[in-house]
Amino acid sequence: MGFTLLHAGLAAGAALAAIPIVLHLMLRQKPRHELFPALRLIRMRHRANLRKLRLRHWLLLAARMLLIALMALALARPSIHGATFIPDQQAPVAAAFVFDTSLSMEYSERDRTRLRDAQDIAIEILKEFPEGSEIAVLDAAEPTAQLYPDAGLATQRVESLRVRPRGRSVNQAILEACHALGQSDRTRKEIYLFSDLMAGSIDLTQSAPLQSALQGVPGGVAVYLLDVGISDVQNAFLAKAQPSAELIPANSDLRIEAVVQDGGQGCDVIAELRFDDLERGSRPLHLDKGKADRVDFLLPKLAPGVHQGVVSLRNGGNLSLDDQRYVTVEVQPVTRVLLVSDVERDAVNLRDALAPPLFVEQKRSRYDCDWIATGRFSGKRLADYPVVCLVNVHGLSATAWRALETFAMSGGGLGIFLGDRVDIANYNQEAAQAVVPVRLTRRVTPAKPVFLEAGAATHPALEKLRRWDPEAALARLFAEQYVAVEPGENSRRILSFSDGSVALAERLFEGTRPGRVIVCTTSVSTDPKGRSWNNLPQSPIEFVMLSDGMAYYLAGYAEQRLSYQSGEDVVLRPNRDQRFGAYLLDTPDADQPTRRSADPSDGSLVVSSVEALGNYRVHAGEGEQAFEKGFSVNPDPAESRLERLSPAELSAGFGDVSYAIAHTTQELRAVMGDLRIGRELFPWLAPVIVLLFALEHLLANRFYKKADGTEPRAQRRSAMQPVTAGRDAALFEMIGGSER
Amino acid sequence: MKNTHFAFLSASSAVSAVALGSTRGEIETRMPAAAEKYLKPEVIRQVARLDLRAKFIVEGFLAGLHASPFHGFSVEFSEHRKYVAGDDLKDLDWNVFAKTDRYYIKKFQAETNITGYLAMDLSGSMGYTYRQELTKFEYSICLAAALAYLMIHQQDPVGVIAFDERVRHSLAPHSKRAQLGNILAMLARLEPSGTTNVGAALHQIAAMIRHRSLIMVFSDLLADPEPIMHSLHHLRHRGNEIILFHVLDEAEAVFPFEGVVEFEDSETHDRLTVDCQSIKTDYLAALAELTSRYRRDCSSARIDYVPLHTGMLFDKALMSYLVSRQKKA
Repeated sequence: MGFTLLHAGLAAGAALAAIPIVLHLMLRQKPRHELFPALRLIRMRHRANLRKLRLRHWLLLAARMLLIALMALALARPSIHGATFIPDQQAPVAAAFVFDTSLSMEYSERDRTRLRDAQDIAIEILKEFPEGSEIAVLDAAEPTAQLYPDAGLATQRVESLRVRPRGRSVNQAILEACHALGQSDRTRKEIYLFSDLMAGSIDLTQSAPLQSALQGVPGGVAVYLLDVGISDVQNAFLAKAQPSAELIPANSDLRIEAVVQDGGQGCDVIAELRFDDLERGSRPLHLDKGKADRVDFLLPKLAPGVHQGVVSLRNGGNLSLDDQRYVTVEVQPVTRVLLVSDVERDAVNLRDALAPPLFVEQKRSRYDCDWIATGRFSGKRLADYPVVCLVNVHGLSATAWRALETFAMSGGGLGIFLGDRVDIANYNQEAAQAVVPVRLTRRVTPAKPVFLEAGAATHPALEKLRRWDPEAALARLFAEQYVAVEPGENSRRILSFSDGSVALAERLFEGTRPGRVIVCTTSVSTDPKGRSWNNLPQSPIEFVMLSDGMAYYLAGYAEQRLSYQSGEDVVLRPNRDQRFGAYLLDTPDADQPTRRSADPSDGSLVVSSVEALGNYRVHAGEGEQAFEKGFSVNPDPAESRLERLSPAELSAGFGDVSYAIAHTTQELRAVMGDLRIGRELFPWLAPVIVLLFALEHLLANRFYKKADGTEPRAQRRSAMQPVTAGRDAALFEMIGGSER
Repeated sequence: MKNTHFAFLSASSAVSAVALGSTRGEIETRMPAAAEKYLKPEVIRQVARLDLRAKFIVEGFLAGLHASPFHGFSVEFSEHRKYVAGDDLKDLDWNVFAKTDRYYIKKFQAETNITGYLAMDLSGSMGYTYRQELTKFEYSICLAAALAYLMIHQQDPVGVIAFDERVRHSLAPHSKRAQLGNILAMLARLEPSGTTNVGAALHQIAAMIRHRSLIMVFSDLLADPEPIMHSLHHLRHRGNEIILFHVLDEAEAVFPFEGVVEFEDSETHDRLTVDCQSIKTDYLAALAELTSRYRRDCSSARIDYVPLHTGMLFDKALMSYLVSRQKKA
């Protein structure tokens, strides 16, 4: 904070405060003069009175001096201001216009979006900038600062701005603006932030760097917040539109769950699903204020391939961008799984869990399981199978282990289910350890069954089981025997038994497509007498869920994302054994597909910072090698929560940095005066002067008050002043006498 | 002179009639009620001649007195009535007989005459008034004239002594009616000026007066009370009765000043600047202390102390005289 006099020369008038002193000394006070014979009585009490008199003199003198000094000060237009005081208001300015282009800026009021209002205000401001000003226009979604040498270029840049729902706060843009302004040699430096000031537009958790950057601008920077937000919003939005799975096996049903949230005062909306360019259903909903409701759309038996749709709201309020959420699912062909065991009986349980006979008969099975004896494994072509499972295999040759390593490194998924036939030494040999995530130690039969520890089970392979029964599914499973293992390097524990030993462990292989190996330390087989190491065979649902989840994960489906938030990077990998130099990308904001080069290192397609909301398609190759993928881009649902930042939150965000808030150009001009010129003290000085004037008047009046209208008569008159004899005679006659 | 005498007799007859039991209505038919207004200083100011002032004050006082409960005072100072059989011949007024060839009885005439002295303070401060019609001295002169009028018509010898630092003028007491004219002429000539020393002057007066007398002192007593009280004790010690008329200006009594005023002592010409608002309370307290002291000391010395100011009616002073006169009688 500083203190400045706009007309410092006039402050010299404060020296006139000496006038009362001079007058006091030269003229002294000239009290009324009165004769008073009883002066002796006054003199007796005069000493105390003299002190009062002098005190009043000094008070009056002080009041008069202060009055003159304050009047001079008021004329000098004193003001208090922050560090951004600009002595020359016509000096060229270095300004950064930071625009919040988040989703909420699309909110429409009287057919004008918040961004449009912000743009118009910005253009008005630009017109008033002095010649020689430097202006940077920053989009919060893409915060790069370039100082334009004239307002015309800046105006064009402002006009080109559009809403970019990337969920980014303006913090980075302000940091960039501070950096750019720091490079400028202009004395006036100003940042104009155009925002609706919704929660999230300014990242309050990162306020310290923000304040540091603002305070670090050489010469100081004035911050103006152009609040174009609306307080009373009317909006309902789709908080979620999520398929039951993005990669689903053939013959599966698809369920799309949509959550509709009211963000205003309550409303009636209609949720609709359009899928594969067909209307697939609509649901009317009544939403109370701030409440949410859920809608499910069921799509049975989708054909293999990419399917895309959009869930939309009718009557969703004044913010249209959050009234749609896009959905992409990919229906995979039946996933082939190769089961390897010493005897076929050992693999039956797993085969039946992955491909239940009833589903196979109804052609609804997601998996096509082939069994092969361990002895014939070496000659098998593994590339035909996304997933290979070793079930209670005694051991493999080093060649076979190396083949499995190659399989995993090329993106294949290997499941190793230990059992009573396992030769620990074979699994611990060097070739095997290149694949197996753990080193086997011994077979363990605990005194009492050990249950699975479900608490920290967040692995994608357990996702299906957890989604089916989040609390108890895993906790019901126990083992009476298992093979104790030590996790090796590059492996991680997925699931533990209650005694702390490993139940499931995983090893990942980096490659063009990431491969993965999961080892299960307890058996999934049943001996000829029907005995098993655990209760999995007796828990068919849990077993099916667990097996399905593991196979889904091993097949690499779990890692593929088909839904992204605006602003994220999209990475699409080709299938195994596919490699393309370029892809054709169909975007929702372009009529024609654009050609995109593949990443030369792994042949993947990388789409950086996708912004346009909608469904995307990617094509490459032809014929049997044809590659077709799709993905959806949606806004961050948090951007639809139109809750304004409170003044306290703003203050906390900017800390000691002085800033001013305006809603219109007129308000901005006023607050610019406050920040540039400072807050003038005249409005406060004026009443003080009036009060002081009144005090002076009161004191002076009381001090020099004349007697109440009674003029003293001339003293020392002659005792006998003549009056008319006639009057005397009349008086005499009146009382009945006569003159002597 | 004759007319005056009879005019006086006429008025005094009315007073006597009241004393003898006449009704108030009868008085009003013979005595204009307007006479009472001449007790007011602002009214008496309208009368230029001192003899008329004295007469009007006394008439006004008597008119007011007879309308008041104070009927028992010995105001019947010179009542005459026709001789009737059975009256004591020694009460026959031979002077009246010589002048009128009629027999009149001097009834109720006081057995003892009191010699009175009107002691007038001539100090400059007595010539002061702030906003009243009469200065302190004029007020005192009017009062003294009225008292002289009363005393002469009671055939009490009255004299005048005027003093400042010492006795400046004096008129020996006589009871002849011509004495009233002399007294009034002398009073009219007096002019207050210069400084005063009341104590020294009263000591001088005490030495001058050889017989026990009634001494009526008119002064503002704006001096150290100690020597004044000593001199009063001296006077009292010589067997004199004393009425001390402490005459202040109305402004001195109520201190009506406001704001900052530079006061100048009218005798010493000392100056003092004061804030009247703040000094007023202190001044009035000091004045109250002074008058309290005079009242206390005078009471202990059996001196009648009559504080007056120029805004007051004259009757208070006259009443004090009558009270003192009655005690003496």
